[in-house]
Amino acid sequence: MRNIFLSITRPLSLPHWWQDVLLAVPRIYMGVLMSFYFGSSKFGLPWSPAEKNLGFFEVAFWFPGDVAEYGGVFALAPAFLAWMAAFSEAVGGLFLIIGFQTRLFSFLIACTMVVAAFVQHGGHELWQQLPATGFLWVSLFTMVLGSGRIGLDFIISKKISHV
Amino acid sequence: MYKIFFLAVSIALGTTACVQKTQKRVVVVTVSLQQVEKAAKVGIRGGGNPLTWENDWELTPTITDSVFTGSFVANTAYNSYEVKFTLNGEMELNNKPNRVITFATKGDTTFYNAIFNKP
Repeated sequence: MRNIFLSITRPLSLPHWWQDVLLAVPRIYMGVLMSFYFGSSKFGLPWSPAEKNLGFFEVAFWFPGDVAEYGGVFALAPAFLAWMAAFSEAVGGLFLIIGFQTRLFSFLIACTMVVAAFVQHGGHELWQQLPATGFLWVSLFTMVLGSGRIGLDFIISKKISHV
Repeated sequence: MYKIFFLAVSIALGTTACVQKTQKRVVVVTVSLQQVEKAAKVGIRGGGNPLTWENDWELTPTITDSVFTGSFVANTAYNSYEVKFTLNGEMELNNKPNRVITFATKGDTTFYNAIFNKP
């Protein structure tokens, strides 16, 4: 169990500190956008806009309907999938900022962005797919690398390894 | 196997309960033109069902070519609704923020009065 946790948590170590700092920039920026802009407008967090009237950890009323319209598997459990997608953005974004369970939340965000880019905006102009694909590419990198040295995962995995 | 099924059903039901609850909001809007426009067609556009930003929700004149009124029912969980009025298909408040109709806290009907193109 400990080994599984460590393999998910422990980031890949890059040769130099500056490389970790540089790679933390897109991860943290993406986390801010996800948690404080895109995610918080459809998932209830303390900083969600007041006019959205979202309760804590509530998903916006219109989102399950949108998900159901994608059809197929999305129509089977739209509330669950909408909640997961909104949670991935809002809470996942926050965890990306602090670099906690970076791989796990990168995976959730990547799944959400695949759907956003290629299902929600599938067939639309490329410009409309661009935000979601941008997040997707960053999340693929963070899924492989983890948080790097700039994140809680680095501290946690170091402490656990020494126990 | 049944444990996994039970867990999946529990999560699905649990997240369904975490969806924002909506309520019906009746909005009655009245808009006055700043000056009388002959054969004026006035509408309202907005974000979210039943209004759209693409098409007019047409208002009916209460004073010909001057004052227009209309109503719509929004099934929403939000506290407010963003709109703009149109005159002969042209949207008001160009490059300015949308009007925000804040729903009445008492009762389910909100009355909103405005002057066209004046925030």
